[in-house]
Amino acid sequence: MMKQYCFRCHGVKKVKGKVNLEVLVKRADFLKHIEITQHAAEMMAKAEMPPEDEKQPTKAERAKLAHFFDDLVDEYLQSNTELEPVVMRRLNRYEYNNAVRDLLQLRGDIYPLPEKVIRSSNYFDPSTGRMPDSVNAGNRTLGKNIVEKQILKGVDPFAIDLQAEHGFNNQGEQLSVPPILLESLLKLGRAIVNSPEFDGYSGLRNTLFKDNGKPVETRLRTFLERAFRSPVESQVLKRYAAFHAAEQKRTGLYSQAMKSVVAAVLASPKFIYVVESKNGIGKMAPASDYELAQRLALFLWSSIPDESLMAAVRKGELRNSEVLEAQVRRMLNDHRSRALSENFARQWLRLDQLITAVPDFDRFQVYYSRIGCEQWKFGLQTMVEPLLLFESVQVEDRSIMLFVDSNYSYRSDELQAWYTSPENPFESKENRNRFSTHTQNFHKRILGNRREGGVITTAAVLTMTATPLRTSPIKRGAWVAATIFNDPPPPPPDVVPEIEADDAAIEARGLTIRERLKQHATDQTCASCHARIDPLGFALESFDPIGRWREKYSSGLPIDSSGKLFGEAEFKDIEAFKDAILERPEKFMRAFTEHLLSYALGRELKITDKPSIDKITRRVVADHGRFSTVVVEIAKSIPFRHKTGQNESK
Amino acid sequence: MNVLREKQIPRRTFLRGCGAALALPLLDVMQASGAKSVQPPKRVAFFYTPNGVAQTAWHPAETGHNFALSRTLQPLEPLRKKISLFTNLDRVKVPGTDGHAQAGACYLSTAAPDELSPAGYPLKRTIDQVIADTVGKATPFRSLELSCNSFTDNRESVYFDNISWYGHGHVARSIKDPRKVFERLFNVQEHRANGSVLDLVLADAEDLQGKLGRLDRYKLDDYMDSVRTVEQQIERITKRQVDIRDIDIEEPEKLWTTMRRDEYIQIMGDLMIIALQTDLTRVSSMMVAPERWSTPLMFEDVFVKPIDHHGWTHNQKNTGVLGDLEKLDHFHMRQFARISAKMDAIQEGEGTLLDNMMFTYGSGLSSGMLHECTNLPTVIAGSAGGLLKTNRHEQHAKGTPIANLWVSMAQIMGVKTDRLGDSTGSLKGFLA
Repeated sequence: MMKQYCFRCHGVKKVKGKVNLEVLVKRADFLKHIEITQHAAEMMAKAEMPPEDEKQPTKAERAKLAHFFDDLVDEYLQSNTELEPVVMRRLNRYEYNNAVRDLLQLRGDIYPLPEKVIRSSNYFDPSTGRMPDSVNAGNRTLGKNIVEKQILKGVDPFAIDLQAEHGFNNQGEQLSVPPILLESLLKLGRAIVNSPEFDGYSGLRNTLFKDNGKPVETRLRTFLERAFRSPVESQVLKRYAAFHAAEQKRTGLYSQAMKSVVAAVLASPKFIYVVESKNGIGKMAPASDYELAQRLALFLWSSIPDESLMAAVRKGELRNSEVLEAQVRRMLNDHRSRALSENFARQWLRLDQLITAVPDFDRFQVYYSRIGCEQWKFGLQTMVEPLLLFESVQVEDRSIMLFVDSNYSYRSDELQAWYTSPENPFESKENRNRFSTHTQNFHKRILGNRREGGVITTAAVLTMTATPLRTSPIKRGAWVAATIFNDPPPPPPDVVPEIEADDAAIEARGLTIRERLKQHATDQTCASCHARIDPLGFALESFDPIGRWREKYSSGLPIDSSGKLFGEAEFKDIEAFKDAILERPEKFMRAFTEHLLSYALGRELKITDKPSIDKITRRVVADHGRFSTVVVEIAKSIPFRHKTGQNESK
Repeated sequence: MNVLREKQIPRRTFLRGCGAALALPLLDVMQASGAKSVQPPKRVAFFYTPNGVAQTAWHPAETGHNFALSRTLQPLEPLRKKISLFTNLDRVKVPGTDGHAQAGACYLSTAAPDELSPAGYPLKRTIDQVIADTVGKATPFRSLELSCNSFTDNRESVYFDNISWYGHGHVARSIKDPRKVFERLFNVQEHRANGSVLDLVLADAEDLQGKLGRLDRYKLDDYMDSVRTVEQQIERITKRQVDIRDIDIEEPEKLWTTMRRDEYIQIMGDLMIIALQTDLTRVSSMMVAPERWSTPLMFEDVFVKPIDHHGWTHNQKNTGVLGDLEKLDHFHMRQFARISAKMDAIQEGEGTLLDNMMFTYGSGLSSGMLHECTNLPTVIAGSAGGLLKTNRHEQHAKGTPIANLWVSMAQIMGVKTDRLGDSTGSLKGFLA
């Protein structure tokens, strides 16, 4: 059967996508090249192969092929249970901020973080189970000024850590400590404790930093245990106490000496790195209670464990599933779980890409705050919308399917007008400040139509996946594939013929962008990939390059946003497209689970994670996609609770 | 705006406030070796442009001595006697990872294509760091990595954004903010303050060593290496603290993300020059922009609107786009030429700073259109103190590894090696 349907493109004569199935003869061959086998299984499941214009297998044949590949994957997983090891990483700068804030009981952040999209947090209180209907949210329109302003005098953030290509900025392989970073960390530690605002900013002012007559070692024990997320050995304690004594002698001040100790702690590898002790070769072992607490705190808070978690650790209770679940739910109800929106959701949605989107200034004047001023972008406040939706689902513990389609959204008046009267969103405020660039009031609004709602059709996503002068169905499609289905397309081939930059130029030839791309995809080498990517983008063609609804192209040409999803679901427009995803909730739930699991683990997922992903997904589906179920099931999963040996023999 | 008070970097900028007994940074070196006619030290620096160059405008029609410069190379005309162009130097492309990430991360890599890091890149210690292992012992900073990447989104991963690596997974991260560079070079007090807790954190690292798995120990080694580097830096900076304080320049005023493109590159260039001139380091690299990063970027006075360099490279068949791409290449070459000219205005011994340099212009791709790694654009300004042939277009045999050039440069810098990565020897005809 494979000869009939596959070998023409994936055989000895022609090897597309570097996949040659013809050389795989025996079962053992398929098991040896399990990545290819798994890929084939996925292609069958999603009906992406053979491509539409090739001879199609019958339903029975497809089922048989799918079964053949699935069976091989199962067989492989029975004898290969070893998980990919997590590589020790350092805290990224967002986590460093949170960890320092919580360790020193600071009233707020240590430095302004450009990565924080929403600049206010007082509305966020998950313990209420209710997202307020009205949220006063600052946004990053004024980013650069806010970023320049220090919170603690002399305290600047170190350089941002970049996201992995299809992952998050928490993977060990990509996070190291080069000399310039070590210099920054050494300086940061000092700058924080010595900043003039520090004493009034830290809750430890009257405890740790004040001499209460007790031995320094006793006081440091609790502090170091929390800072290093591990039991403190006596020689370590002695070392730090000796340092304190020397500093006290030098400065004559107890509190100043304690500040020097804290500054050292903040640059110590035991604080900077996410340390887990080694385990035997190739075997899977449960993470220790300390390690599990550390993983939980990083996952849910991007920070270090708090006293309640440490208490559970000391009692040896955390490995108990019920205690673990109770802790996870408690942590979700804590305001620190805001990190899931600030750190995870922002990266999952790749929202940073909006910051540098430059819709053409002349054609899309409304994107810019002021006529004639290209630096100030009204459009940046659209970033707030998908994040508030995310937070509402998290806080109210609703279904993650709302990320695909929701009947509500949080919008400022201006943003609402952006969607509802795209021709004239600012009414008479043409030449003046069109809105406050500091904060806006975002109201929960029940949406009047189904084309809006969810994250996919937000102006932020639609704008950052367009180019200055036209939409880019390819970019939009690639975003949907990567974000919504966790199926990032392979990088484009070396030869990438570009399409005209301006849709006006394309339409002048009587073509829509869709027809133009079709010409592009007639090239055999491009066709099969684009058959996967483009339809996802075509579905969004009714939204212009800055995310406003349009009935037809500006030239008057009609818009065709129809297509087919998963090889079976025909859709005629964006509403039907969303329906197609909603009718198969397992696909999105699995994808979301994979994104969040990869984030929780700080590594890429591998085939050996599949049984765990299957299990989590089953439970999430059974619970109709409840947000907390995804989080709890990840925390209770085997990869999250175990660590793998790092092949010491190599 | 210029970092320096003066337009160029004249000696008197440094002489000002220095009594006769106080030696110039460089004189220090000369006096230490006790001879009167000592050669100033040789220095090496890299100027990296991403996404390759437009080919037709790059390649001159002539080879050999006194060749006629191509259109893109025109800005080098005033310096032609001090530059050389190399063609047919290749890097081996390894399938499986992105062409641009590889171009950036592996350009200076000494790894052979079959030596893959866990991330899939042939990525080991890069040539600048190999050279710094030897020549970096003499200076406060073993090397200085700079980048003119002002993008505020984080669209691409670390591999697109760095050309200098200590080893796989261990990036010699570049500094993007000129004020941070300034601070690092000249704030002696901060460096010294860093020393107070080094013993303590190193002891913590030693505690961990025995407890970690193989991969984690490898990560910890990065940290321990960095502690040692910082320790040495402090020691050497302390020795030089008086003359560092007397280096009389101003901190860049403007916020880096608001600088014009040419301004940003020139200020970084100035900082690089000062570090090299005052012997704070002898090895530097500068990424003029990161690889790929298809975010529109403004080039004031070159294009009216923000442009997508990477996108353009894939659309070179369109003659209009090709013309724009050539304009962009010309812009980058002007920046390189300007920095080179500033180096040439600094007297050093019998010659100039530039004469004592090997200042290399290059890219990890030749044509960005096909992600080609053959015939990489390579220009060297300076002659390492008269050792190199200049005013030449040296056309090598097809398929000559660029690693051969790196071997030769390392040898000139005093590194005892005859092989690096996929090199097949030193570069023929390199020395005068």
